[in-house]
Amino acid sequence: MPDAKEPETAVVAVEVSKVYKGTFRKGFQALDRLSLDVRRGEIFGLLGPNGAGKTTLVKILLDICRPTEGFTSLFGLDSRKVAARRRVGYLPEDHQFPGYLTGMTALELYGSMSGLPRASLRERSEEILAKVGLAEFARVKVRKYSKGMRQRLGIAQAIFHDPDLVFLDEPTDGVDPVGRRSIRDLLLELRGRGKTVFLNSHLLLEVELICDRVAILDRGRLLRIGPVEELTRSENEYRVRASGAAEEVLRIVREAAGNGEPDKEGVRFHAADEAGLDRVLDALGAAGHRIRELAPVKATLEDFFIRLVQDTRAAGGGPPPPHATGGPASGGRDPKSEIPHPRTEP
Amino acid sequence: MRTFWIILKDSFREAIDAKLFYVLAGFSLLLSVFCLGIGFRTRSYDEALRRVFDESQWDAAAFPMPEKGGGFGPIAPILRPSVDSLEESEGRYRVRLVLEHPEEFRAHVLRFGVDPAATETKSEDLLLLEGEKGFPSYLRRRLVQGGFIPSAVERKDPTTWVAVCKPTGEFRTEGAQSITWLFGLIELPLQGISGRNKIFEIQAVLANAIGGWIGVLIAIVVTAWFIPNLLRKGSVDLLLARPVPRWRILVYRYFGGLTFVFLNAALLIVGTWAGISIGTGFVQWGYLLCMVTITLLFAILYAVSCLVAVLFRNVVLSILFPVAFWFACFVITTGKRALDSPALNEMWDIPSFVKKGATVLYYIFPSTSDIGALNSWFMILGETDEGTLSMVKATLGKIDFAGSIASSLAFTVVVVALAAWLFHRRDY
Repeated sequence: MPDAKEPETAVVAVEVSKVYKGTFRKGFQALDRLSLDVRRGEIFGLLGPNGAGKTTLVKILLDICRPTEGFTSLFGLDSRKVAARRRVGYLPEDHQFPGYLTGMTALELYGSMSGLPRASLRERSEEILAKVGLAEFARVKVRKYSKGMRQRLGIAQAIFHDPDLVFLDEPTDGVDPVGRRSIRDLLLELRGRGKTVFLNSHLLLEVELICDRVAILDRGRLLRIGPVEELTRSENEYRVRASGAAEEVLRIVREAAGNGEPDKEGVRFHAADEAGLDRVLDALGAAGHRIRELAPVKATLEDFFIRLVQDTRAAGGGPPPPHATGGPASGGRDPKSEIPHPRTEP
Repeated sequence: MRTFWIILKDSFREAIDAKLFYVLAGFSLLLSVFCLGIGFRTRSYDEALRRVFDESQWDAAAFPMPEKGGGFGPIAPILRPSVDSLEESEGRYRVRLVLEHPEEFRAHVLRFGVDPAATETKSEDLLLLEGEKGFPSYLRRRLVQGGFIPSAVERKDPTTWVAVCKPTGEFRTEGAQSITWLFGLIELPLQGISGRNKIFEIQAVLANAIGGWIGVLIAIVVTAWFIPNLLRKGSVDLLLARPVPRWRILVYRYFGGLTFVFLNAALLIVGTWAGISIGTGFVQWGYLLCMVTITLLFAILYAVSCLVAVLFRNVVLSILFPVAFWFACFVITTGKRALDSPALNEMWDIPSFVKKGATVLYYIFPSTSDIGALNSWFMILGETDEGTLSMVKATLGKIDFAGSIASSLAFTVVVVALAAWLFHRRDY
């Protein structure tokens, strides 16, 4: 359990900027004066489209790459110091284990390097492999593992030395639904034991299910940070289901509310106040439609995320898009195309 | 220290996984068995003594001449003494030798061998020269090398010499024994001034050609994967997130490669040494030091490979660069030796800045050729014969081994430190 004397924050980033300088190319700004903190014992989600700077931030926090400006710390220690990484576990995105290692030897290698005593290596690796469902593949070479198995082994190595802070970059990537569920359970168990989890994920539903707080990044800037409930709080959106033709109902709602979108169960619309809501109900009643259901709609994190990113970009927020630039975080892709569609993600 | 062992163990896992460790070990074992089958076949004294003066043996050997610099003269093939008669009486042999081309020999010596200004002798008859460089002294040495003790060497007339000698019972000599392979089944057509010299030649091939050239080349290819694999995207992150300073990861990995090669070199050298020692009875401890020399040579090239790997993260470049660098070092060392040779300086007036430039390059870059030549020095340590000793000294006597090793080690340390510094600074 963490020491009571320790700072309340597990992770601190202050005004962190990162510019990847190319020899022959224009530099690429991956992070722009980003500040955030992660509290001890929480599951923190970092969201953002591809190229937003999520992985760069994690790498800076682990001293895998260096910030151009700013300061970062882990449990109050400057994250550039080796000692700061003693209590940290990390699952990188697209990680690759050397193919010559077995599940067991991989854990022993990384566990030893994290300072785990030799005496406990074997016992601990058997325990963790069983936990992630790889017990029977402990002595199989990693090159024979499926993608999901490698992902589970990646999580195993991240938590192997019982770190107080775990960074997980896309932990459920390539894992089947059952595996995802068990990973979620594992993360909740970690939180239950007072561990801090820093989660990078595209799977917003997953983040919504388990994260205490989330931060949303786009083009290197922090757009929003806060508890999930706060971000997904209903914003005067309602769903109405009425008798009669669906097209007719939609038309009446749009005329009365000034907006409206059909969905599977009826029509969704915004009403700024009760008077606005009454106008819609009155209009439907006057047209002879019987109201079958009227309920407030709770926004999902996914909805919130997409709206926030799109609104920010429409308003011209954030640094210029990295079309003509390079750098490890950009991958040369247009971040807009990477925004997940609400209906394509589980 | 624990991290060192962990990374060392991991390097071995990688090398063993590639199966090349087994291939190399198997190759070393095969060579050891080959060496175990090497032996000597004893000749009769009569046959042995005739071989001492066998024309082909004279052709193979060089006759030390009082030439400029006191090296070996190119006149042995012209001397061609032949055994006129051979009589045995009470264990002593009386050999009558005839020089077939004395005038040609004399003209040759006067033309190429003697610098009238430098030599102290004013003798017209060069065959009568006394001391180490004289013909009688040389005849005595040949007899000793052949396993005989000369009691008298006399000149009967300008073209005829008579030597009286008796066998020593020492059969580790060229004349007294022939060298065989496959436990006596095949006689090896090896030329040498002595049996020991033949073993020296075999050991030189094993240590320099097989270990120091082919072996090092294979080792470069095998270990060139180590660092680029370590730095592969997705793989390097797993290591860098550990509470271990970056430079240690790289330097320990470098030592992992070195240890892998050292073990392979040890298998080759100890195996062949044991084979030769058991098979022939020659126990040459100095040969064992060749495993250090091979590893040192590899250490230089692997340092370059590591630096290239950190810069480019590319396996092909990590192989090509050290090989090209090796060649460049060879050119520099050979060029420096050529510029220092009296023959070249006599032919051309080489500007001093060229010589100085070559010297600077020689001491900046590692002298890989000199390090290879160090094997020959090691191989004459302990039991050796006069001929081999003089041959090695004459060939390698002018090499500044201490300077070569010091500059090579300094270069290696600087390159590894540079690679570690770049690795420490880079974003991954």
